[in-house]
Amino acid sequence: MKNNPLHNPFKVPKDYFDSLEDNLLLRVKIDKNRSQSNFEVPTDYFDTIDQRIQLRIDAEKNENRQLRTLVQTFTAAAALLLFFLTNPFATQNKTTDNELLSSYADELLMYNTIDYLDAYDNMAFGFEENETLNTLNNFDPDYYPELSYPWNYAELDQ
Amino acid sequence: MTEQELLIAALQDSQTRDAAFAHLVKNYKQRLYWHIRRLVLGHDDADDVLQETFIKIFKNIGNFRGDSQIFTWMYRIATHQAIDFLKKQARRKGLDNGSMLEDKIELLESDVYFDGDAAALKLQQALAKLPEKQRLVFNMKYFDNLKFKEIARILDCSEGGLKASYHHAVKKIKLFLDEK
Repeated sequence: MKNNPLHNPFKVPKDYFDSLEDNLLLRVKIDKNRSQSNFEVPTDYFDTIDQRIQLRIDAEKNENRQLRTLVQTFTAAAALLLFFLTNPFATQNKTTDNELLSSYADELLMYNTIDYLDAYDNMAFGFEENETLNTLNNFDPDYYPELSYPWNYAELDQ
Repeated sequence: MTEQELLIAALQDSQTRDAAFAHLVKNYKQRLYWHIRRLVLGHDDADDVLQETFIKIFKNIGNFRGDSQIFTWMYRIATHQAIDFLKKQARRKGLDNGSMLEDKIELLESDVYFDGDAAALKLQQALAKLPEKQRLVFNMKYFDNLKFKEIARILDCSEGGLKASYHHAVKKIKLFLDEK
């Protein structure tokens, strides 16, 4: 056999020719499938997808806008809070203003009270006008112990 | 100015963006859909990924420099979105990508939106067995008829490597089809 010039030295796997036809048919079918998609879409899918994408984009835009507004509000609030907490100038001014206001209030109350007491004294003891002025100019806190700081409002009302 | 340059300029201008984007969706929705669908297989999943892709395109259009074709850029986004989607899905199910795709192919048989015969299913089974890169290259070359140069731009790989991947993929698919 080996010397036979017609002998074919090449061999094929077992059952190769039995399955060849099936395999070739399968390949042909697959190649046919290449041009036409086996996947389908619902009716009108491509007619409506544009609108649905646009709706998603609009929703995304709205969400971003709301988020931006929220972030801006929080940033402004945080910045203000930080300013008032860390700025000694603002705190100091506030204290000074309060103290000033408090001292004005005390002073005003004191003079009003003195006027009231002088008027009362005048009525009760008949002091002259000059004497009232003298009393005012030479105000002696010891003479009016209830006027010494802190004020006892309950006593003043009596 | 070329048509693409005009389109990009319109997309990057806030006053014309919406109209230009609508034009973009209209022109490319089908090609992107089919590309995504071949990767994720189910219609509902493809629909989700397509919408996410277009949202991402809208958000990032300002960063597009015009170095490549806009379609290549969109294709790249769609590919990444589809791959991410599959990975997340596999992680949720506690499977590797290949096993998850095989599960999906089993579902295809009863899917009302799939009318493939046994040959088409077999091809999908063969594709599911391929590594991710080979599957991507095969899909883009065989079904989408893209050039290796374009695929290389989309996947950010060398052309030589892609050709090798494609030939490996073809060989494996042939082997798989011959097996049964």
